[in-house]
Amino acid sequence: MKRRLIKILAVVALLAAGAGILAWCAIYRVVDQPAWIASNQRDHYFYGSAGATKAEGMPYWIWLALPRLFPEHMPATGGYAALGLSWEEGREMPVGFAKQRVGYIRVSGNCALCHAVSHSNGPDSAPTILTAVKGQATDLQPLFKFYRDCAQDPRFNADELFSEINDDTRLSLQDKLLYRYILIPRIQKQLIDDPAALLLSPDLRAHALDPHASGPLSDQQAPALKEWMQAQMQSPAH
Amino acid sequence: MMSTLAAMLRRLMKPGSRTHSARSVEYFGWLDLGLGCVILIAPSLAAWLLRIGALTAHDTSILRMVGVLVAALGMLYVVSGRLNSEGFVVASLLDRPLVPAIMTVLWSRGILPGSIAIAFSVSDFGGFLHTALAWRADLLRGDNIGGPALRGQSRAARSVELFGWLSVLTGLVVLVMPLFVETMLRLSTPSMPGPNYFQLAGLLVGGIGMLCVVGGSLFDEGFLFASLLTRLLAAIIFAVLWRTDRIPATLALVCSAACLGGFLWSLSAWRKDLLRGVSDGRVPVVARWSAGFFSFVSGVVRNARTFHPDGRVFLGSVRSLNPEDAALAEAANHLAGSVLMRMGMGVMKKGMPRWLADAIPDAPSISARFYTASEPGEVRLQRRAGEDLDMLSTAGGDRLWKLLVNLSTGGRMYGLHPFDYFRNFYFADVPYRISAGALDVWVRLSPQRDATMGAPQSGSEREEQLSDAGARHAAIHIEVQRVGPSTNAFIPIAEIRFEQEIEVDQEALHFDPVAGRGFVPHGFLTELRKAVYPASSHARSSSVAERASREHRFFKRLLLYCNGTPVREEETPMISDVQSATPRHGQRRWVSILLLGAAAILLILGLYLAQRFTRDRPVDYADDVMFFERGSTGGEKMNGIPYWVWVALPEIFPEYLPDKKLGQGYSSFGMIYEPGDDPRYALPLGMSRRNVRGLDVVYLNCAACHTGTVRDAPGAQPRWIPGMPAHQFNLGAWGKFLTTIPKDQKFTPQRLLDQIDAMQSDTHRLVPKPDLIDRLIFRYYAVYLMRDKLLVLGQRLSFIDNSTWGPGRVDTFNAPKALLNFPMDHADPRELMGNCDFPSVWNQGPRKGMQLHWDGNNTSVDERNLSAAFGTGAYPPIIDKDRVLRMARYLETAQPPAYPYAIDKSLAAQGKPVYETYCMRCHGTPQPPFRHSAPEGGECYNTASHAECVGTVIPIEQIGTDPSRLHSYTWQLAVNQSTLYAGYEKDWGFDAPYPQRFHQFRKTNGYAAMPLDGIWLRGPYLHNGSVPNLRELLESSSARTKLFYRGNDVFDQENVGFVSDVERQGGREFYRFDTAQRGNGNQGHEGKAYGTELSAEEKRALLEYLKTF
Repeated sequence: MKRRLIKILAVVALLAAGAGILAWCAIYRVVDQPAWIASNQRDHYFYGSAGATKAEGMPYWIWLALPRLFPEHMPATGGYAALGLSWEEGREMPVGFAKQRVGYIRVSGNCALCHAVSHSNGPDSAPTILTAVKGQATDLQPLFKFYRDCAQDPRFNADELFSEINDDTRLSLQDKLLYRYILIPRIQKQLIDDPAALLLSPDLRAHALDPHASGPLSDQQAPALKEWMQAQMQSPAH
Repeated sequence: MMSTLAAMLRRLMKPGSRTHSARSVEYFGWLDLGLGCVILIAPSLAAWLLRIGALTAHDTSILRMVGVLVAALGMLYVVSGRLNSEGFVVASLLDRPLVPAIMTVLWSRGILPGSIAIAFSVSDFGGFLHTALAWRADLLRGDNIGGPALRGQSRAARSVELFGWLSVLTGLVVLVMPLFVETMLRLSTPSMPGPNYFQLAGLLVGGIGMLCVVGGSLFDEGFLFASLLTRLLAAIIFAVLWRTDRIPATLALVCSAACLGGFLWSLSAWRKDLLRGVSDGRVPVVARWSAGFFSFVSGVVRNARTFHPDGRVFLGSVRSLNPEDAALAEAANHLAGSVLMRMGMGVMKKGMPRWLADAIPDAPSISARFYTASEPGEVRLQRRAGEDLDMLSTAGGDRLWKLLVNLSTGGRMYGLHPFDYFRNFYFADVPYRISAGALDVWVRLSPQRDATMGAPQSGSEREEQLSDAGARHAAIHIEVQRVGPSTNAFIPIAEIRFEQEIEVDQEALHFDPVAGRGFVPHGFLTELRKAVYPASSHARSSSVAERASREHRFFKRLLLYCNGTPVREEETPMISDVQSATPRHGQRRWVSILLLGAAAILLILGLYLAQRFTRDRPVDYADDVMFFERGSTGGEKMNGIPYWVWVALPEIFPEYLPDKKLGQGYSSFGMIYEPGDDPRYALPLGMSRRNVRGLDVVYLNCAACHTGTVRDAPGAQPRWIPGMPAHQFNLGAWGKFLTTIPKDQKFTPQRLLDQIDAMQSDTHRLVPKPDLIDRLIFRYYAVYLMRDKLLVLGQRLSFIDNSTWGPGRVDTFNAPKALLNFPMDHADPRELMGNCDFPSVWNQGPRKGMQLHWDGNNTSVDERNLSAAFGTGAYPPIIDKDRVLRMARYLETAQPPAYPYAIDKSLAAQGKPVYETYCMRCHGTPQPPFRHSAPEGGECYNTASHAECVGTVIPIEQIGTDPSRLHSYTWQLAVNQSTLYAGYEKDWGFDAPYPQRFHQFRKTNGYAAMPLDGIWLRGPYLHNGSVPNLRELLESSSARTKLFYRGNDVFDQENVGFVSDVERQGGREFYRFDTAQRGNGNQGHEGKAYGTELSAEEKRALLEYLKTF
């Protein structure tokens, strides 16, 4: 009897351990961003994840589907580009969005979300993007308003989102379950409450609310980045 | 005790004396091994030898796998044969005769070519006959087949058997549902009607599995060793095939993992056996379960054991008749003593419906237990192992098969007398080896009649006769016949005398026909009994009362039987009259049978539906050109229109067709039907067909917009030219038709089904009539889904006015805005119109790196292809990448046809320098590769060197053509297109760089200068098709025609282009093209640099030269 109990306990423990590993992989496993992002200071500044583990981030497929699912909340054509964000031709993400797999693929904001500026070249060619301009920062309010409007729309639900996502990719069963039962309801609530807290790490968010408060960078990162940015500002494009 | 592996290996190298059957098995093993190696190493040679036509890459890889399997099979035969393994002989005798039957089915259904079917049938059936005859010879000579029989099963045998079952299951699944498996393994599936070698592989896997099951459960050491050796080698071969890319990785992985897994498991089991010895007497799990199931069926469903029902039990005595032969005398002495006999009918009929019971004749039978009574009158209800002999014998045939034939045909053969116990011979049906293996004999019981016994004619008279004979101590002789010719005489050796009839609980009396008292049964039936009987008696109820109580529980029973755990009951008084309990349970039993049947039907239905609804079978074409014209891009999976709906629509809604004529299919849109095709049923060029989830669906492919027609004169037969712009196809009108019909009140399931009913029996149809499931889908699902989809599509595309397109044109880049669901009511009005001509798609290889699309917004041919595939409904999750890739590869080298009409060669020669002076810098050389070097950094317009600017953008200020198409493409669209195909990071075989995600789209500010290959077929000219022919293109815009007609495919040799001044012809009205309308401007591409100021003579020469492109 006792041996049998031990056997049952062992099986249960094994199963629990297996489920735990699966859950950890599905929610917390951090995969590095592709090498090209880190290989170059400019790309790293534009697309690198500044502490993606600190900000929860938007699930990638929700991030991708929202502009397509809710054109009625968009001020103009052009997806995220219509919300005042800079977007380089040929890049998957607008400047300032970092894509990284932490369990599931997430999108979070970095410094460049505000501190990169597009200068329009008219409708006949793509805008020029400057890394940072003194006294100019991107206004994130249209982005956050769009997210809030989406989240409050009755069509913000798994069925509608999946109908859009299914045109773009084939989600794995694990992702389908994760999105339907955990991520979509959770993200909806957070987008209504505070989209900035979802997209930005606490430091960045504090800095965004009060730019004069202490910078979000650690003492090790700050000098190097500052030097690079000053060099950028002296470039002829500025 | 098992032999060590090394000992087995030595035996393999130097086989000792062997039986004929083992030898015959080995010979056919070598044959199979050779055949397998040929198929494996040179599949095309094997295909040529068997005359089965050219193989596709898919077929070759599958055939290689077949080769490995055949070779593995051969090796099993060789090794087992050399190791003189009896179990394997049995297994091969069971396995091989099935092959011709299965092959016939596969052949008749067109799954396998006849030559292969014949080859396998002949070789296997030949092998079977040879081995069967050899076995007979062995029996006649009395050769000892195989080693001593072992009880139970070793661990190694169990593991081999287990993997055998796995293989049987896998083989069956592959055989029945090859497409399902291919989809699961993500193999590319060719769906050409024709041979499918994958099923052959499935058959072989199943066959090997069956060998393993039988060999394993008969615990045959030689076979276990053979399977070990084969699995290891097969795993290695699969790994090698994978490394060298001969077969798909998934397939190799699955096969070699299965082989290696089986090998390792069996090896470790063998080691354990060596260390701890064979677990003697333990009943194998599979045997227990099959016996349990068997008992369940006969016990629950029939409330009886099938062949050994209840009967009347007698005690008797046995004495030797002292035969002359010493061996027989010794055997007779062994039998002498007491006997317990149960006499009853061979087949249990209790609880059967009357009609069935009447159809099965009674077959009297005697089960006898010979024992030495320890005290007078002892009744031995439990057999003592090694001491007592149980012998089962039945009237109606001296072999089991004769008995079965006899019973199933009414019991008139082989001297069966159903109503008289004493006029039958009772045959034991298995041969016995007696006198310490010296002699093989058949045994029968022969009742001794006397005159008083009469001739009973009914069941009750028969029982009276038995009671009477028992009371008078009647005799039964035990007779034996030497194994050999059936004419050998039966020699009586002993006599049984009835002593008295006794009452026992029928369930408590179990017979177990194994060796005892010097009688050793052998042969196939014996081997089966060894596994079945212990399990069966273990699982059976221990008393009549228990059996009756088991009747009350239903599905739980199966589990109880299979686990062999008897139901624990309170002490119940013995029910002597079983009959009284029967009728009440009879009804219950038939309810159970019905329920079981219903469950089985549901299971089969479920499997069928699963197979049907996972089907994904595109129609393929071996020829690249045909494949381009009709092959699938995968778009039908999501956007396909069911074939039957497609053919019904023009018949239901002729009022929305351009010419409003019935019976012409879609030809009035300018879609091309091949001559001889019935446009009501055939698919036009540019439509692909695919069976998705069991439904045949169709949709556009690349050729719809990139295959056009040319006619020499108004009455002539049109020729279609793949790769040419479909200048006659009105895509806009076609789209309008599809988005209009769902709004019509006739678009209902009933109307559609009525139309399908009227059309479905026509012999011109391409797919079978819709079956019940298809019709249910049409009625309750497809029509509504289609309406939903078309309405949504219509709404998303509503900002595009497709009536302004006309034939041969499309608004290319407003469609992706609809796909991305841009809020177009906020859009800049200048981007809302982007009409342009379909381009030609030849020579895509040399175009790599050029700026593609009219405005040059992308420099990647592959990305451009994937982008264009959206137009065929092929979205990222459903695109059939292999097929799109095949089309892309074909287009890389596809060539335009040469100008078929007369060319003035000397005039053309004069045009050459004119071309080189004026045109070549931007339009490149007449033939690929079109340019001498790529421009530096994309800037070329002002460089002087020739032929560099081809495939680059000429700024709009300089080219000066209509800007609408340019303005319709915005940088906002470009950046959003960069998210398409995001997440697809595997190498699909398209050109680098990866991933597939679009990253080459750029906003430009001009139009790209194109190479002019096949320019004579590419009219009307300029990106928006606003200049009807080449002659006019060399005039300034003020001299170009302001109003002309598009869609006519009659060629205008004088002006080089299509006839454009005819309003209607042959019942067809052409599209009136007004250059004053938005997007249709015919200005630009003019001035001195563009040749519009050349002399008339020079222009004529240039025009003539352009015909040679």
